[in-house]
Amino acid sequence: MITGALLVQALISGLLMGGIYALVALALALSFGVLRVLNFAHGDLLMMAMYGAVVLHRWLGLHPYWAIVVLALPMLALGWLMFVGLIRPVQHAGVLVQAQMTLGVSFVLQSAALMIFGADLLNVRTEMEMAVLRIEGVVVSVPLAIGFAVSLLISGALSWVLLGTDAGRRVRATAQDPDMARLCGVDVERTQRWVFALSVALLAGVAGCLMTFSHVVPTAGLQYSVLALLVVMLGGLGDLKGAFIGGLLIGIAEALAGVFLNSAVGPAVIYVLFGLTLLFRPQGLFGRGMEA
Amino acid sequence: MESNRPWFGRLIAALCSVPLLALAQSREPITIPIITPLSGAGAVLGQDIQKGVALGVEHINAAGGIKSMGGRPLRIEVVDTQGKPEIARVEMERLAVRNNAPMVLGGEISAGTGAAAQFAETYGLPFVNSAAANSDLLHRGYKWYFTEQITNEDEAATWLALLKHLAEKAGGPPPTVAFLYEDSPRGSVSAKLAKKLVESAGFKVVADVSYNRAERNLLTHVAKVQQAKPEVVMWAGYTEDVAAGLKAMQQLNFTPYILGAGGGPGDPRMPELVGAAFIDKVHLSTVDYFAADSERAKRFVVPYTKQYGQVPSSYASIGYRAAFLAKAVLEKSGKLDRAAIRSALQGLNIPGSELISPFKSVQFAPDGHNLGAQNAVTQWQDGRKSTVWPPEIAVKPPAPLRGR
Repeated sequence: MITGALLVQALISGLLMGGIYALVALALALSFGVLRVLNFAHGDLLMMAMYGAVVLHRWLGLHPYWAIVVLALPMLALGWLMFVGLIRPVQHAGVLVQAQMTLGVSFVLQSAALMIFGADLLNVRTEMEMAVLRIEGVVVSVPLAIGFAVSLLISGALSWVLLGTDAGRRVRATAQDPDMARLCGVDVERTQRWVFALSVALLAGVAGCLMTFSHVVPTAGLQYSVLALLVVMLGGLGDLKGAFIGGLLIGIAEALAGVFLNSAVGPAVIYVLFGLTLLFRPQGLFGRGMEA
Repeated sequence: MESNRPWFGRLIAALCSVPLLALAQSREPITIPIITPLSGAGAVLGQDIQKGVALGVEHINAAGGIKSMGGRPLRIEVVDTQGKPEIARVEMERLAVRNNAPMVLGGEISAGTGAAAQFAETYGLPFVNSAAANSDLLHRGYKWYFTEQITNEDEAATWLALLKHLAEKAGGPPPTVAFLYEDSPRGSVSAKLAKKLVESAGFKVVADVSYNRAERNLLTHVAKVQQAKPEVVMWAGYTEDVAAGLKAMQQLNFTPYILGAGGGPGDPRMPELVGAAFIDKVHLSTVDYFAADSERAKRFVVPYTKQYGQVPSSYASIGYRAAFLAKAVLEKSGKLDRAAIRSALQGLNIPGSELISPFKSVQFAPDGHNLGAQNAVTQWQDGRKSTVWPPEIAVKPPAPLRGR
């Protein structure tokens, strides 16, 4: 029987998990909005950061939240190098070439993780892992709640940068019309390079949050890539607000499906939601171009 | 240019080359493939199986190889299926047609095993499964498919026997039961069969909740089970979903007695993933095909632990078992002919004392199932996995159902 408490439980867990999905998708939406290159290795870059959090914990005893700080810079550098070495050369090639390139990176990262870390599930055990808040019979996972807060914080900071700074204006100008931005004196390539590097660095934040309660395996990236693509397309390609709300919607839909449906039908709900959105709003829920 | 070598020189050279060639052939390894997911979502299974295979082959060859074939060493080719039935089918085609494999070993999950068995049947290729537990395949009338592994039906019967035992010992009203399982053929068939048995034995099933293995957050599913207030949860799952589900139970403060099946509940990494105290608290038990603390498993457990620095998982035992099963079949057939190998499989009888598993024997029935397959139930107690069922091989009694 489905009780009110169970429904509220599902809504809250879904919303919190959705916050983390939103952050994964936000990073992808940001890079797509500015570069117009769909990065299929997005989830695998996240997987690498998750392994980074595990390594930092095992070698230095660092809590995953501290790992965010430590990993941000190497991830930024990785994003920078990836843009210069792999993305830039195919940026003006066809969509299929771009897809092949980023899919290739995805396979390479997966294989590298399998070779280095093996297929075992790796996790980080912390005291906070099982911490919960009990409110009127509803259990709120503390790591999920913190993940949600981090997601809000990063999204807010990103919005502020994009709306309230010169750098943000350059990014928005590049996203709206690169040629016009160039004519106005914006160094488009430099902007794109920084945006891509930043979108990869943001994954350090997601990895730190995820590793407080989840685990990592070499194939974890694929799941997150698919999820991020769904969320980004649901919200409207390149639309940051859409990506954030799309993430929350997917999280809630997933949790509610667990309550109302049994068996294999549950995970299909998000694809049904996605299909219906594409059918009635092919541009996505908020697809009006790049907006902060 | 015409050779000026005398004719008798050629004759001597030819005569010498015959025994040399025969000697070379006698030392050439016999290659038998095993299909398993080395990559992809099921890679934990395949990677562990690979380690078990490597140790098994090392032991076999150190003991003189395949004696009925002049001591030729055994080589097992580990073939990656990525855990995908379509890849399993393609690899089977390659092995059967291009490589002319005399037999194929199975270390694959149920879905891939089904695809491979279908292909083996078409090509008349002996396919011996040591991993998948799905019993559906045995009802398809296949002639080239043999399974050494326990089946879902064996598992369900063992679940019920232990449940009855726990209920009898506890006294009072019979415990209420909930089913929680991942929805692949592995988990759903086990749960379906067990539910039927458990209900017919008079136990009340208060919840039946399934989930997809790929789901990241099982809090809602576990909350659904908790709401039904079962005393016992029967749970079939893999490592990642069982770890996620146990964490959800911990957060919900839900501590039923857990009778598990599948690779997850018995995974030796579970204390590291979830915490030893909690898995002790829920008496996490697994219907298993491997009991690492049994006397007969020592010849595998001791060198494995020494080599890899950890106690072997049940998955690793599949690899070791498969290697020795291949050896036994080749010894009996004496040749690499598919029909001869099938006959050897039909006439095989390996006594339990020669096995590392808790099986009574390996002896195949006409439908291909192992007549001697027997489960053990292992239970986490004080941070260690102990065999608690059946009584004849148990090293400890199972924890009581009530009064915990």
